Amino acid sequence: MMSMNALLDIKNLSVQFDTDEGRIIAVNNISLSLNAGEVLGIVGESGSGKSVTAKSIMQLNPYNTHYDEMGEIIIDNENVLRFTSKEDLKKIRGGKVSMIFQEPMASFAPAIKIGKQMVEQLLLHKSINKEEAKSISIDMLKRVGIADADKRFNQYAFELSGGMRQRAMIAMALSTMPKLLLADEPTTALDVTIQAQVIDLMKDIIAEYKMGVMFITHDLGVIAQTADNVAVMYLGNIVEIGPVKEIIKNPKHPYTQGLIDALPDIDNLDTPLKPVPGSIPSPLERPSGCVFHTRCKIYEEGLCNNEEPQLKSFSSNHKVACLKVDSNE
Amino acid sequence: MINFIQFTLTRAILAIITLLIVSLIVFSLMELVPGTCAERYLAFKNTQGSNINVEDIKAEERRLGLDRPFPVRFGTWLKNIIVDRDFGDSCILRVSINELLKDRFYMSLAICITALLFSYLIAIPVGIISATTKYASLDNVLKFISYLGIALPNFLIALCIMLFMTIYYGDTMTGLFSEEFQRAPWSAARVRDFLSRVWLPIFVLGWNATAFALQTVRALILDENDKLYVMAARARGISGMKLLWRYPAKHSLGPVINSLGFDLNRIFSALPVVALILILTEAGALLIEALARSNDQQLAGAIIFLLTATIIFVNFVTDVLLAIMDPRIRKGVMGGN
Amino acid sequence: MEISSKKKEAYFTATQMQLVSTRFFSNRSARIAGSVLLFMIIVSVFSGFLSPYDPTIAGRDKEYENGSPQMPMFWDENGFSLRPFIHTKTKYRGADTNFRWVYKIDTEKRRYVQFFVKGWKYKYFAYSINLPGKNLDFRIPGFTFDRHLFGVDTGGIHLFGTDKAGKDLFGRTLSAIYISLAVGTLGVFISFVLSLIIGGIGGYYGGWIDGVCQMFTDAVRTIPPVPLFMCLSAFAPDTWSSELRFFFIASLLGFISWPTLARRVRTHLLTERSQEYILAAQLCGASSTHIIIRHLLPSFTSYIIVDLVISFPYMLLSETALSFIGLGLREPVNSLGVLLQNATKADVLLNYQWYFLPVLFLIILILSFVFVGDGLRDAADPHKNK
Repeated sequence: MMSMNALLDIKNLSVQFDTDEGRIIAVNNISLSLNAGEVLGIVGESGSGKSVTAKSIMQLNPYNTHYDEMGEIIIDNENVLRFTSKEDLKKIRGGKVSMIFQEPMASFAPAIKIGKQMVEQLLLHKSINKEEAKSISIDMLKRVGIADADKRFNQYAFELSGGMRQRAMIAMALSTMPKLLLADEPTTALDVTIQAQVIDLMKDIIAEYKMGVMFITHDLGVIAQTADNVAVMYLGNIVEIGPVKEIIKNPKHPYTQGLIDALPDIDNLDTPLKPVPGSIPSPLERPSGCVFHTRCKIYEEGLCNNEEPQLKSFSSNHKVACLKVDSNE
Repeated sequence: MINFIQFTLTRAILAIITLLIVSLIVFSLMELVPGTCAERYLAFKNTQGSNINVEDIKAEERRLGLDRPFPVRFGTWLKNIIVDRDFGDSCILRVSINELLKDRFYMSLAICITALLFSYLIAIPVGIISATTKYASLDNVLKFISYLGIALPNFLIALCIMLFMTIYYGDTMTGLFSEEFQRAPWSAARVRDFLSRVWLPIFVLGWNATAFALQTVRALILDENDKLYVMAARARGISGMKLLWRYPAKHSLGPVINSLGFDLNRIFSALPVVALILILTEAGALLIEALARSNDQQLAGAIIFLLTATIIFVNFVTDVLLAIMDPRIRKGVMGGN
Repeated sequence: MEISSKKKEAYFTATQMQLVSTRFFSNRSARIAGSVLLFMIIVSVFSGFLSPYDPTIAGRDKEYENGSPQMPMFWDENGFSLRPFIHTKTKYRGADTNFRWVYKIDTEKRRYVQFFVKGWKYKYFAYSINLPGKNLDFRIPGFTFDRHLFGVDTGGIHLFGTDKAGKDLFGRTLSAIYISLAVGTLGVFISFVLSLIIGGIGGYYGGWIDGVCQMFTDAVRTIPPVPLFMCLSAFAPDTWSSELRFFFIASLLGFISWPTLARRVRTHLLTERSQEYILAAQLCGASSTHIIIRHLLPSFTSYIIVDLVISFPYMLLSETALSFIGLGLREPVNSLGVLLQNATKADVLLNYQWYFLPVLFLIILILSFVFVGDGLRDAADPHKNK
């Protein structure tokens, strides 16, 4: 996974928030990387730090965010975490990196036409004129499968159906030809049929434009269909990371196992669902040692609540952070 | 386009109906005063020494048309206003109300609307600053000032300023014109004198409105800023002033414009008392005269009618303006995102 | 934030009232404002006990007209004393002072402040209402007290000074607070009842009934309140007793401010009515009354309380403004507005600045209502993330 020409390379990223109750750890020393043409899935419950990680890449976190000195996010040999100037920030916001969101309705400004917003973004990042921007935008709309692209260009977000809005959002994000696409729960709010269409669309585009995609979701099923590699996060830590087929067939971390077990069994629909017991602790009360130990079925008193597990290679690309899993089994 | 015309027409009809209801209320109030216009006027004459008897009263009543049934009188009154723009004669003063009101009403209107405009001119930028500043202390200071603005009544501010002026300048700053220009024809000097005095009523009237508008703008911007589309815009690389104005500010304008009519309502409400303190000779002060001193309901009714009609009109205009600005309303899709 | 599971339990099973009050009390400005408000209410209720002199003309101090405030002291050039006392001030003017008022303080004689003195009588719950017609007159004797917190044996002690006729401003301010609050409360109550009826009917039945109610509400709302009030208050003849006038003014206040409240009631009703739990109740066969009382009403009680508290300051301000111009309450009933009436003349402003002390109380009262209202609104709003 650590290749020399990685598109995105995150090293030792730690993010905290300064709140009235104190400093909360959102992301705890994670490292991962992504190549062009690859899809990296990030799976976890709410509060696991997956959105914060993505937003850190674009520096979209709120004012009270504190990034650790040691952390680095490298894109094209530059540590984007240190960017402060407007020019630099523009590079990572809409330029080399684009983001699509869970709620397409909410990510379009309600009272401005879609076309206008798309053109605005293009003009900001490319030195072209308005006419060119308009034609690129309409082409993009057609590319994502929206019929009557000319008409839609002049419409408002509320005039499009749910699936169309999602496609339009994808079109807008891709129009600047970013190298890296961050997708924050893009299919969560869609119903299943549209979900399938959007996923297919994304796969086409990824193949065509050779982008790297970071796909954030809590839905393991979608990851199984779209991702090449997956990182499982819990309370700010990566607990398991590796190729998607490997992880699903052979999960090693108790949390990952729990997530997979929680999926309904399509062959045996009458079996009761098996959720992961307990609930995610509040970030103010971070468990000592291994953060998962409060819900873990193989918890060992004295060991798991004292020592923090590190990511150890289990096989070539598969890493696990669990004290009770032997490496190189 | 069709939607828009439909919308405008509906609004217009609603405005007219509201005006009708209001005029009915106002007219009924005018009628509820014990004793008819004729009786009161002649009672007044009686105290002056002339001998009045019942026949005179009845004759007067017939002359004024007071013996006709209520709906007819209401209809005539309304027709006179709309068609002839004539409010009839004041009961006690026996002069045409139009004469009494005309200049004064326009003056009051001008002062009130200027106060409204100024208050928004200040409140919008300050509200935006207050909502977006990273310095919590600045925000707190501005919030406190706005609370003060709400708690300190207009007339109190007027009083304090008058006190201040009296002590330090010796000039009471009352009235819209100083002595010499009171009845003079308009000239450059008169205008200058006017401007040097009119800022006081405008400031006092706008004080309260500014505080409210500030709080509203601040709350709106804070709300909008939290919404996803602002972050999405940031994610596309838009920043700075452009981000601020095109996204949260533009979308907050709706409720602000919507409240214009109501703000004007509040300013109109504050006018009589402020006018009394500052001794302004316009419609507001006239209203107090009419009611407190001589109980002249015709005059009072006319003034209230005019004020309310202005507000209804402003409401209509803002509704239409809102439809132009916000495509959601125009296209008949109500509600937020 | 849910911390331990025990606290989580408490959170999930807490009643609405408990939730709201917890959130309210954790808001510092709301807490401070709330205590200030409570303090002022208690002070005003006990105004009779706390003021050494009758605030009406009957209790005036003829020897100390337009007197400046007298603060009790604990020490003077003669030494320290555990009991507070005041000196006598006499006003003097003559040719030697250019005919300006000068105060001479007699530092020799001390007048000690006494506590729990006997003084003028004040009553609670004593009503005598004279309605037109003999049969409707009734009188409730009530309770009479005559103890006061403090006073002096000779002369007078006027903490806030006195006015032109010698009436003690301290007592007047306290009773004015009470009257203003009372008028405000009555006005809010009347406004509340009216808005419940009109807003409630419109909101519950919907359809054309709602349309008619809406039109009517909006029409009244468009009329500027103060001019309308002035028009209506002119109906009250001067011959009415002050109590009658009090009720009349309060009713007028209520009649004019119900539209805003009615709108809120209607909005709440409309949103709640189409909620699914109402549908569920109807499907279970619950009657309309049952639905209204057991389901709808509790759901927006907290909102309504917030709305009521928020409308209070406007009520206070309106009453003050109107009494100020002479169209509201009048002597001998004194509210804060009536007190302010005397504060407008130039010689007052220059010489007798203590006339402005009631203003301070008015501002504090209004500000505390505003903050409490804001705090309640933040506390009652379930969508605030906490």
